[in-house]
Parts: sequence; C-alpha cells; structure tokens
Amino acid sequence: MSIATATPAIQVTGVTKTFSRPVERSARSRRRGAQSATEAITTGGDVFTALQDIDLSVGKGEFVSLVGASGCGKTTLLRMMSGLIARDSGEIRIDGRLVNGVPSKVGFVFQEPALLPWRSVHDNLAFALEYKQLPPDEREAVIEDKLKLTNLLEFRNSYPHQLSGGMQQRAGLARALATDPEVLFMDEPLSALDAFTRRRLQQEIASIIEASGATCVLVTHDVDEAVFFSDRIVVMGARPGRVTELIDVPFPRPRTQVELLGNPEAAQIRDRVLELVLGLG
Amino acid sequence: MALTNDAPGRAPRPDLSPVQDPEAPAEPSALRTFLRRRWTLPILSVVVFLIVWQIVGMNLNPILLATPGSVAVALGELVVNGQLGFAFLRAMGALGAGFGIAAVVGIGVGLLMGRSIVAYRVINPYVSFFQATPLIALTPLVVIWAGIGFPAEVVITFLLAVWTVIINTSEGTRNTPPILLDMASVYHAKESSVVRNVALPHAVPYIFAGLRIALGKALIGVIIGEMSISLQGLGGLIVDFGDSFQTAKLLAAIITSSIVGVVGTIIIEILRRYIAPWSQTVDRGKL
Ligand SMILES: Nc1ncnc2c1ncn2[C@@H]1O[C@H](COP(=O)(O)OP(=O)(O)O)[C@@H](O)[C@H]1O
Ligand SMILES: [Mg+2]
Repeated sequence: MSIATATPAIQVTGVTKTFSRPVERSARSRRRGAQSATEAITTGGDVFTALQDIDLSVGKGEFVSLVGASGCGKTTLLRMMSGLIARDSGEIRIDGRLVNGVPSKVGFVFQEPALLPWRSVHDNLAFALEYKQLPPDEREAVIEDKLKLTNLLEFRNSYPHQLSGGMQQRAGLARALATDPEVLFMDEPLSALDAFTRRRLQQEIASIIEASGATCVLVTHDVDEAVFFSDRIVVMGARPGRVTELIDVPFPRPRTQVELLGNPEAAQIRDRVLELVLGLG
Repeated sequence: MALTNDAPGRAPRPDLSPVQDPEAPAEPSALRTFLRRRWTLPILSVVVFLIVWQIVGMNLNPILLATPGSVAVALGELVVNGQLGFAFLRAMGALGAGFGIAAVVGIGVGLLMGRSIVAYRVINPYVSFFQATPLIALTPLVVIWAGIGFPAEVVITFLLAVWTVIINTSEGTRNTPPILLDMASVYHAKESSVVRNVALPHAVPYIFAGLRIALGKALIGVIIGEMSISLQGLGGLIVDFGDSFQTAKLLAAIITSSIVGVVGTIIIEILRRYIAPWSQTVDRGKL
C-alpha cells in the first residue's frame, strides 16, 4: 500500500551517520588486522559509519517495520527520524518540516518501558503531558482515556515496579499515545516480553493504532511481528548500515494473528524477509 | 506473584549504603530462629561487654579507665547541672548549621556537575583535591578568616562534609539512565523539569548514602572544631575533663557526642522516608 500523497509523513533523503569509536578500541582492532575489506573501508580511523546514504519515504498512516541484523543501525535510524539524535548529512522531514530536535507530533515507545520509577502510572502520563500545559480537567480526561485504551485504568495509582513487564510496556504505550502523536516510533517495544504476552499485546496495539490513524515506524527482530503489523518491511544490512530491500505486505489492515497464520502468501513474505536478514537471499 | 512469567520487571534498587547487613536470612523457614538470634545476641554481647568492663575497671586506676557505673553516675551529674545539655545543644547547632549548609550546597553543586559536562570538568579537580586533603589541617586558616568561635566551627564542619555530598549527588545524577533522559526529551521536558522529575529523584538514594557518610565527617568537624577553636561545648568538655583526668566525665561527654551523631542519622532517615519513600534500601532494619 504505497500512498502517494503530496507530502509523505516521513521523508528520509541521503542520510548518513557516523560515530567516533573510542581510540583504544580501534587501536586494538587495527593491531588485530581488519576482519574484512568492508570493515577496513567503513572503520576508517576512529570513525565508524553506522548508516550510509539512507533513503526512505513513509506515507501518512502507513505502518513500516525496520528489520535487520543486530547492529545494522535500526535504532540509530529511528532515533534520527524522531529527532533524538542529529544526523551527519542528508535530510529528514516529518510532515514536510526538517527535523531538528523532536517534533511535537512525534511519539516514541522505547525498548524498555522507560517509566519514572518514582511516579505512579497516572503521574508518568502526566509527565508526558506537562509541556502541553493543558487545563487539569482536560489533562485528566486524556490520561483516563489512554489508560482505558490500554486496560490500565485500575492500575492508575500503581508504581511501575508493581506492574508486570507487559503492563509496564502498555503504560509506555499509553504515555506515547497521550500526546496524540501523528507519527509513532517504536523500538523493539515487545522484545523483552514472553511469547504469550507479546502476541496479546501485538493484537491490542494493532487495534489501538488503527483507531488513532498514526503513521508508525517499528523496529523489530521478530519477522512474524513485522508481517503482522506492516504495510511495508524495510530490510536493512550492516557495515555500513543501509536499506537493502523494501517488501510490501499487501493484506488489508487491521489483521488478526489467526488469519495470517494460515495464509501462504504471508508465509512467503516472512521467509523472504528471513532470507534477506540472514543474508541467504 | 513472582512465579508467573509476567512477573514485575523492574529489579529493586541496589543497596547503596556503605555497610552491608552480614546476617540476611538464608531461607524463610529459619526466620523464627533468626529473629530470636538477631535481638538476643547483640544485647547479650553488650551486657557481657559492660560486665567485663565493670570488673576490669574496678581493678584499675580510675584515671586509666572508669567503670560503666561511674560513667553513668557522671552522665547523670552532668545532665543535672546542665553542662551536658548546653554542650549537646551547641554541638547539635554547629552540626545542624555546618552539615545543613553542606547538604544544600553539596546537592546544588552536585546536580550542576551531574547535568553539565562543562561544570563537571571545571569543578571536578577541586572536588578531587579537597576530598583527598585532610581538611582538618585548614583549621588555623579558617580561624584567621572567621575568627575564634562558633562561625569558624560551622565552617570547619561544612568543609569536612560538603565534598562527599557533592560527589555522591553528581555521580547519582550522571548515572541517570539515558533512556529516561531520551524519554524526557521526547516529551519536551525543560531542563528544570528534567532535574526535578528525572535526575534528582534518580540521585536520591545516592544523595542519602552520601549524607550518611558526610554526617560522620561533619561530626568530626564539630568536635575537633570545639576542641581546637573555642574550647566550648562537647569538644570543650572533652578537653577539660581529659586535661583534669576526670575519666568518667570524659567518657560521658564522648558518649554524648555519639548521641549527637545518632540523632543526626535518625533525622536523615526520617527525612528520607518523608521525601523519597520509594528509595527504601535493603538496610531499613538498621535503625
Ligand atoms: N552512541 C554511539 N556511539 C558509538 N557507536 C554507536 C552509538 N550508537 C550506536 N552505535 C553503533 O552503531 C551501530 C548501530 O547501532 P544500532 O542503531 O543500535 O543498531 P541496531 O539497533 O540495528 O541493533 C552499532 O555498531 C553500534 O555499536
Ligand atoms: Mg536496536
């Protein structure tokens, strides 16, 4: 489903990102000898190219997943798109505007719940809303709405350590939704959960996102999860981090786990993505 | 509840207290015997110690070692004639002022160092230097600046205590999990809000661990200050009784100075429970 609207929700053009490695570490690897030709090129001196020349366009309301081997720069790309870190070169636009710091329409669900341990669930959501300076009754209404949506209303006064891992991650999602983001970034939000909780949450998140109409970019290492959520899967390669393949997932949303389970086309897509990620394609 | 796969995810905060409890219960079934042992052994230990002390003391020159009985009598005497009460209050005052200012300044400077790498690099050399210096050697200089009397003693107390508070606060602040700081920037939190709602609460257990250590140093400052500057208060009594070989009264004054420390520790612990009840550490059985 490639939506050809005038301005895409997210437009990434020719983005490159390098990190400077600690001198000690690169000195050691030089002594050891570079392990491959590409490493010798991309690990030039103390500079490490995490992402090279990334182009990516995400349509309004589209759901895109980033998959790829660990260390290929998925998190780095996500953090640059959300404005959490700066890019070295190239352009990133959200809703046509150049990203410089976190845009106000952006929500972010982290790999860990990232809740403030000294605040109740309710107060964690309130923290996210602080900058909006809403009138108290409006703020309370938003919080109640999002807690209801994520089935956390009865835990509003609980502290994070009193919640299960799945509930903590739901609270993180409720917080991200509280600011009504038009673009939602998620970095392996379910990877720390057990298989059952993860399945249940995938279904819940899918319906919540469907209702909100937000544009989503998800980083995941779970190919089934990528197929379940996405309109498009972006397969990334490492050394240097780059986009190697875009794969369409042509089933209408919202989907259910069950309908994908027996779908041969879904199985094909999943196998193709796996092949690409594992470098067999 | 901890048996399900979906168990609470966040581990309890690490025990940041400098001292560890050596006798944690091995298993719940031993709890009864453990509880009984926990209170009987320490009490028994003290009672036996006092008895041995009493017996040894009675067979020694009372100038060398007073007996617990005579110390108790001396303590009562000094309380009744008001000497000890005044000295106690003076020490509490010096401690309250010197340590209080050290806590406020230390937390402020520590937060600044923890949040600003520039401030950290500028200030850290001095913190490292003074932390490593036996600051009690500054006493003559402080007297030259502040004169002989209470203010000089407050300054000494402050100087001994402040560095530990600075170091612990800045370490606690610098250790704020990056993911929480990212979260704060996603929600456009201002620096003041990041400090108040993220960095400072995270640093609280570190800060209180620092305050407990700093209190001990501050008390040294109070007593040595009184002993070497004004010769008043508890330090003054200690010097007087020592010089005049009144060993029982000397020990009574020393015991009173440890009571000052205990009272200070209790006040800090009450503050911690009031300000930051979530920062409960494993050593809560100690008070
Ligand atoms: N702040 C950083 N400093 C130095 N290297 C970094 C930093 N962040 C990420 N990297 C490096 O960039 C590469 C990509 O990291 P990341 O985006 O986290 O990968 P992924 O999320 O795909 O596993 C990794 O090799 C990682 O070591
Ligand atoms: Mg990652």
